Amino acid sequence: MLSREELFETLKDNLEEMFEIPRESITLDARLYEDLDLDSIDAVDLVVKLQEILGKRIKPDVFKSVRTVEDVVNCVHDILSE
Amino acid sequence: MNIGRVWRAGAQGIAFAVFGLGGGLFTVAVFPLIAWVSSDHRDRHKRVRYLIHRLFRLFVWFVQALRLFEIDVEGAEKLTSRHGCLIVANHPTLLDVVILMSLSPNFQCVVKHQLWRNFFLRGVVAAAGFIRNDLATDAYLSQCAAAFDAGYNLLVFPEGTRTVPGRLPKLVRGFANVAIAARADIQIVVIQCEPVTLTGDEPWYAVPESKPVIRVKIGDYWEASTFDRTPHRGINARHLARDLETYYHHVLSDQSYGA
Repeated sequence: MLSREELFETLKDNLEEMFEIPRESITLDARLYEDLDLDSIDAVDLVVKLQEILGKRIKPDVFKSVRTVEDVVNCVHDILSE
Repeated sequence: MNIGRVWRAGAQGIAFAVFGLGGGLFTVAVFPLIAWVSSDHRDRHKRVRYLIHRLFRLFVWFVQALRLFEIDVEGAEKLTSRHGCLIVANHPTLLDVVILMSLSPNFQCVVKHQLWRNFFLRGVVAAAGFIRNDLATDAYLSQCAAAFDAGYNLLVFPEGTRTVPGRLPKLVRGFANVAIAARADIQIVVIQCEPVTLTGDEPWYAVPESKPVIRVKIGDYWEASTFDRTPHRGINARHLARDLETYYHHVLSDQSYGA
């Protein structure tokens, strides 16, 4: 079971690899859309990738309220805890 | 007293009036007829857009006959031979859309959703079946894909809005997402207007000192196969948007832009 720190690191790796986002700008309070310049299609790609990593489906409404990197980490952590 | 300028101010008023009233007239009198003789909405949209193409050709002639603008197009034949590609252009003036539609008989267009509330144009945009820019991603991409499949060229302004006068274009990534998702080639068009006018921020009678010249150049053609250079869609879209922005900066800086 991955800790929040490990999840954060994994998320950083993926955001960097999938979208060329500079690692330094990926902080827990960074907003996905305004700060990291993700758009709605990127969000879909991210969810697909997370599903691959987790081996579990992520329901669309679960991700709807996600705004910051920390939200993503918590979301994934919650799913893994189920 | 600059007689030419006074003339052009009046002529521009006439042009706006003709455009707006023409839109209203066709909505009331012509489009319903087209709907009546068309077998389904796709048929109707296609006919309406072709009619718009012909009317806009007339309008482009009209504004030149009024001595309001000079419009030079280089490479128009390239546009008529394209099918199922994305046509992108920078956007210095309000006339850009009219000119581009007058040059492609088989166009489709992404249009800002506010026009569906515009008194003169709401009938036109609905009858033409344009693609709204406020659709959810899935619906938006699938409508764009449908346009390409039907052989239409999709007109998109990658800046998302009109160019800021005197500044080089700043692109939004949306067009790149469409091109990559639909595997559509990109036909680049470069539009320049000297002196800068009709930017949308000024009153209807605002005209420059000298007669403006709008130069439309049908530029490079980028094939979709060149867009997937990395295994990551997100990176490819970002690179494509950046490449197009660089292209425009390069081409527009070569001339005495904004001087």
